[in-house]
Amino acid sequence: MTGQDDRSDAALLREHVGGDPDAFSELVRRHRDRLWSVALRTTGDPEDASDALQEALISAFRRAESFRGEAQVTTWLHRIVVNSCLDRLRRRKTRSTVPLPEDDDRTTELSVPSTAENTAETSERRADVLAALMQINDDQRAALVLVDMEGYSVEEAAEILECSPGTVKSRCSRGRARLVPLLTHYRGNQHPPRSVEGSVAAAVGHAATDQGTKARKDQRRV
Amino acid sequence: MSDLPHPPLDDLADLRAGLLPPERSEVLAGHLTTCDECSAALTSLDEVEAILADSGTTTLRMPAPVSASLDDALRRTAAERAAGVPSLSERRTAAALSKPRTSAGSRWALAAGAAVATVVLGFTAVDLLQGDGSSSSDSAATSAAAGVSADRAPGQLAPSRGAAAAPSTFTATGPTQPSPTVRDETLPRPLTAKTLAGYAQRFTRGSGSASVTPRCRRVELVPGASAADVRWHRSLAVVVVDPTARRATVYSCQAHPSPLFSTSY
Repeated sequence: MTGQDDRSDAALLREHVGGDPDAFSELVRRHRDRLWSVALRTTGDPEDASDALQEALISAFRRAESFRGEAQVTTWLHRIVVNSCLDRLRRRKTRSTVPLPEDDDRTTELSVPSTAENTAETSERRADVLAALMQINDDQRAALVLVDMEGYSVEEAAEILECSPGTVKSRCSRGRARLVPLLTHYRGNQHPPRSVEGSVAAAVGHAATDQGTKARKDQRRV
Repeated sequence: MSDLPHPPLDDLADLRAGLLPPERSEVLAGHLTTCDECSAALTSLDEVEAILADSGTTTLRMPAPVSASLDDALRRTAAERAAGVPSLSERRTAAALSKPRTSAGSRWALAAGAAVATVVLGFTAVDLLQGDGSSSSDSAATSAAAGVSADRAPGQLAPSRGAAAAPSTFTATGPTQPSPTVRDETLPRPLTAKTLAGYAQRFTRGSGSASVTPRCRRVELVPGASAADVRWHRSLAVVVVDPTARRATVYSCQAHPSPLFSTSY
């Protein structure tokens, strides 16, 4: 576990296809938290996230030879995981007309950050954001998770979601619009979003410009 | 303050994302210079983006049980591969088939069918799921009766016989579920049929461990259909296969009476 494996993702995948029994596990070990984050944020449910992720990675294991190197390995893995999550959400919708039970405690508990601080405030907000995301359309959420949360470029997200960059932009845009009232509510602010200047920022104590967000993304991409 | 009607928030979001045609953008930009309310709305969109980005900077840690389960599944998959193709689960399930393969073109579908089609007829699966305590010895007897080699590995689906019965309906043995109807839905991807084959090795019947549950639902089957208790990830579930309709359906043993999913093969 502690030993560093210097092989690149692509090399690991090649060696997995070539028969190396441990290469794929190493690949998964490397990216598991990131993939888990995407799965949990996309499905909004730890159980679904876990099932979708497992199904996706077993599928990736079996069809690794179909990876042609035209994308990054992580993009390919994300594509399989996100598709698996969206499939699961569709199935969940067709199997139940009953609203899913609120299980905020569980979600909070399972949304443990992999590093750094875990104050009550941030974990509460994290759960609020997850809950708000679950109230918007699946496709919009999947796009927002990749672009706004995971910091993927629109082009990369388009590759993962197998749609055009324009579609990704549009889903993100409409998704953000849906989230405005939801996140205002979660911040405990009673004012309607359009009536008070900076209502969300005031509640969250965080303001950002396009530039600031972009800078963050760039930083996270490195 | 402008006298123009306020544009919908969607339009402001599209403006921010650069999705509007130039002429519409200009109109909105003009409106924004005079309308505080819309400027604030635009700010709130940026703030939403910032909140998401902020929340997203934290990569969540995969919980230990999820991680362990994933490692386990990958190990099994690796072991299957090491054992050669067709995979272990395919060979097991193929061995349990009561009829020879007929089509070379549908190996996965056949394996999937086989994985779930081996408990032939009736209520056997119900008894097992209700935890009647007879699982191990009964398993050997029924598999012998079904003419299947008894030396299969632990964890393999136990084939058995029961009485042909009833329509394809489900009644709960637990306290809550009403009797649902089985929706007829075809999933767009053949992937799920393929994935079914992987579940064969996770069948809890015959594993000798505490794999039965009295909480699971009662399963009644159309003649010729078959059912098996399986582990769906960490939860118990029932797989039902109707070979006539060439349809496999997975039901959770937990909250939802409706199928987790259903697929043609």
